[in-house]
Amino acid sequence: MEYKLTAKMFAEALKENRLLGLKCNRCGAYTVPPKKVCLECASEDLEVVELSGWGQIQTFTVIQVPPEGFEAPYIVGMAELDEGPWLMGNIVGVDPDEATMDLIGKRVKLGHKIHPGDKFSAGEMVAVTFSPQT
Amino acid sequence: MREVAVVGVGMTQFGPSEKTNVELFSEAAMDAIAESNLEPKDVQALFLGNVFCGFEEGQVTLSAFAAADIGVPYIPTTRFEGACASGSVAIRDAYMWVASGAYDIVLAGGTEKALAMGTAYATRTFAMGSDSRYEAPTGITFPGIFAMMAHLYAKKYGIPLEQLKEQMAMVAVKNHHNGTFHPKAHFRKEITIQDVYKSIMVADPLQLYDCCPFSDGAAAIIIASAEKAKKLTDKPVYFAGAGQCSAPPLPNQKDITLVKARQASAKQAYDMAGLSPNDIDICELHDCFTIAEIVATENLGFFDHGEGCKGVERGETQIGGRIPINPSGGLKARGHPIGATGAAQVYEIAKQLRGECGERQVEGAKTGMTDTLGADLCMVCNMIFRI
Amino acid sequence: MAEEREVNSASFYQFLTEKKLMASRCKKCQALYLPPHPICTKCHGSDMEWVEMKGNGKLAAFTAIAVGTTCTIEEGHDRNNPYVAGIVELDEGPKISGRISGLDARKPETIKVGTPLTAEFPEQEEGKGCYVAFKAQ
Repeated sequence: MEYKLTAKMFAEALKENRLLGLKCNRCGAYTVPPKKVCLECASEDLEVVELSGWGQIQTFTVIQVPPEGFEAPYIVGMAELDEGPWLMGNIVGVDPDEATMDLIGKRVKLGHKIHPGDKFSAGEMVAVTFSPQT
Repeated sequence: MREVAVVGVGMTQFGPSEKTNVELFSEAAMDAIAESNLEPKDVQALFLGNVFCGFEEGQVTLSAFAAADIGVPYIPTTRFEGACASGSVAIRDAYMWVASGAYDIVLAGGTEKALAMGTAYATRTFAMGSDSRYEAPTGITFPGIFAMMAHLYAKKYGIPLEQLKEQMAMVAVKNHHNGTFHPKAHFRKEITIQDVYKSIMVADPLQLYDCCPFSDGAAAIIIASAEKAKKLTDKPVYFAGAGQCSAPPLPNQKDITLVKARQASAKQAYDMAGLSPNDIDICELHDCFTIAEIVATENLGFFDHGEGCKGVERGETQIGGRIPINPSGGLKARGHPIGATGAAQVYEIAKQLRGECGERQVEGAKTGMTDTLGADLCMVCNMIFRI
Repeated sequence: MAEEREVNSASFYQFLTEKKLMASRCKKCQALYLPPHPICTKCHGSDMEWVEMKGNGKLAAFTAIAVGTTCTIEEGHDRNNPYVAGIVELDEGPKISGRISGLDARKPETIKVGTPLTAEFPEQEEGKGCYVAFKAQ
C-alpha cells in the first residue's frame, strides 16, 4: 500500500503552519510525525488529519555547541500535543539565555522554521517551532 | 545453542591517533589473536563495528580491508552499524553465530577515528543518528538529547536542577578517577566537581565535563565455542546472556528517562542468563553523558527509578561500592571511539573477571555486564559474562 | 631516519611528501608490501622495515575515465577530456594503482600495457602533501 503521508507532504503543510498526522481507524491513536503504520497498533487503516497544533512543553535544552550549519544558542524541546503524541521542535520567542526549568509545562502553539539544508540533507529542511503562550 | 566464550581481547590506546581505522583495528586484533594462542588463519569470520569511516577517511568496505591487513583476506567480513552501540552489536552477532554452530572462532570488535572529523563536522555527523526528516532541522545534537533527558529527570522526580547537576558532576569525577588506573584510557587525570562547573556549557544543563570525548581507537575480541575455548585458554570468560533492542525516534518514546529499548534489551539478557540485577558484580555502561550513567543504572535495575542519582552520591557505584559502574573510566575517561566502545567494554569485563585489572580491579568479580546505547536511545545492546 | 618511522599510512604519505615511494618488507620472510602493511599477510610477522622503491615500472592495466570523481571534475576533466588511471608493476615487483600522465586518454586504443613509467609526486591541494602518480617515459 502506498505511503499515506510522506515527509514531503508533512513538510509542505508545516510550511503553512498546519500539522498533519495520521489517525488510526482501528485504535484511535495519532501517529505524528507520520509512519507507514499506526505506532500503537501497526494498523495500515489510517486517515490523514490536521492536528490542533497546541501542546505543552515536557523538556528542553539550550544548544551552545551546534552542528555544522547551525548558529548557537537556540532552544530545542519536546512538547506533548493535545492529541497525545510528543513532538520535537525549536522553542521560539524565548531568549535562550533566559530559558529555565519554568519552560516545562508551558502551553505552546506550533509554527515552523525553514533551514536551507546542507550537503547531507535532501534539500531544505522544515523544523517545527513552539511558541509559548502567556 | 552452544556455550560460547571470550578467549582473548585486545585494545589500542584510546585518544588522538594518526593511524587509520584499518591500522588501529589490526593492532587490537593481533593482540586479541595472540592472547588467544591463535594465528590469524584460525579466524573464520570478522564482525566489525564502525559508524563513520566514510566521513572520517572517505573509506567504506572497512571490514574487508581490516581482514586483509591481518592476513586473512579471504574470509566473510561484515561491518556493523548500530551508532554508538556498533561494537556491541557486532560482538552479540558474533556470539550468536558461534552459538549456532556456524563458526568456531570469530574475530569481533570495532574501530573509530571520531577526532579526524573535528567538533562541528562530528557534531553534524553524530546528529545523523536522530530522525533526519523531523528532528535534524531543529539543530538537535547528541548532548542536546541527554540534556533534555536531564531536565525531564529533574522535573519528573522533583529534584532541584542544582542538586542533580552536582550528582551528575560526581559521575564525571568518579569515572575520571577510575580512568587514571587504565593505561589505555583517553584521559588519565583526576577532576573535581568545580572543574565540571567551570567547563563550557555544551547543551544546558550539560557542560563539557558532563560529556564524553570524541576519541580514536579500536578494540577486538576473539569469540570461540566453549569446546575450543577450553583448549585455548585456562581463563575463558563465558557469555551468559545477551539482548538487543531498537526503539522509534526520540519523541515517540515520550518519557526518555526510561529508555524502553534498554529495558527490553536488558530483560532479554537477564532472562537468557537466568540472572537478576542483584547477581551482577560489575557493569560497564554507556555513560556518554553524566546523566546517561544515572539513568542507565536505573534502567538496568541496579537502582529504583529516581534513585540512581542518590546511589552516585552515596558512593555505591565506585570501585568497592555495592555495584561498581565503569571501573574502566567509562566513555567519559576511557574515551568514546564510537564503533569501538562496545568492544572496549567487553575488554574491560573480560579483564576484570580474569582478575587482571591491577589498581582498578573489582575484587571477586564473577559476573559482569555491558550496556551500550546508540543514536537517539533507539539502539541498545546488553551482554552478561561469567567465569 | 626512514627506518625509525612507524609502518602505517601516515608515514607512507609523509615519505611521499619527501618524494620517496616507500614499501614495507617483512624481515622474517622478505615479502614486500606497497602500500605498506604493518603485518605480513604471508607469515603474520610484524617486524617490518622500510624499503625505497626506485619508482620505475611498466603499465600493467589501465582505463581512460570519462566520468570522474569530484576532484578530477574540478581539475577540468569530463567526457571530452578524459584521464588515464591504471595499475603499475614496479621493477621491484609490487603493483600499485595511480594516475598516469603522458598518454592520450582520448585514444585509449593507442595505450599499450607494458609501457615504461616513472613515479612522480604531484602536490595535493594546499598543505595536504603529495601523492604518487606515474608518467610515461
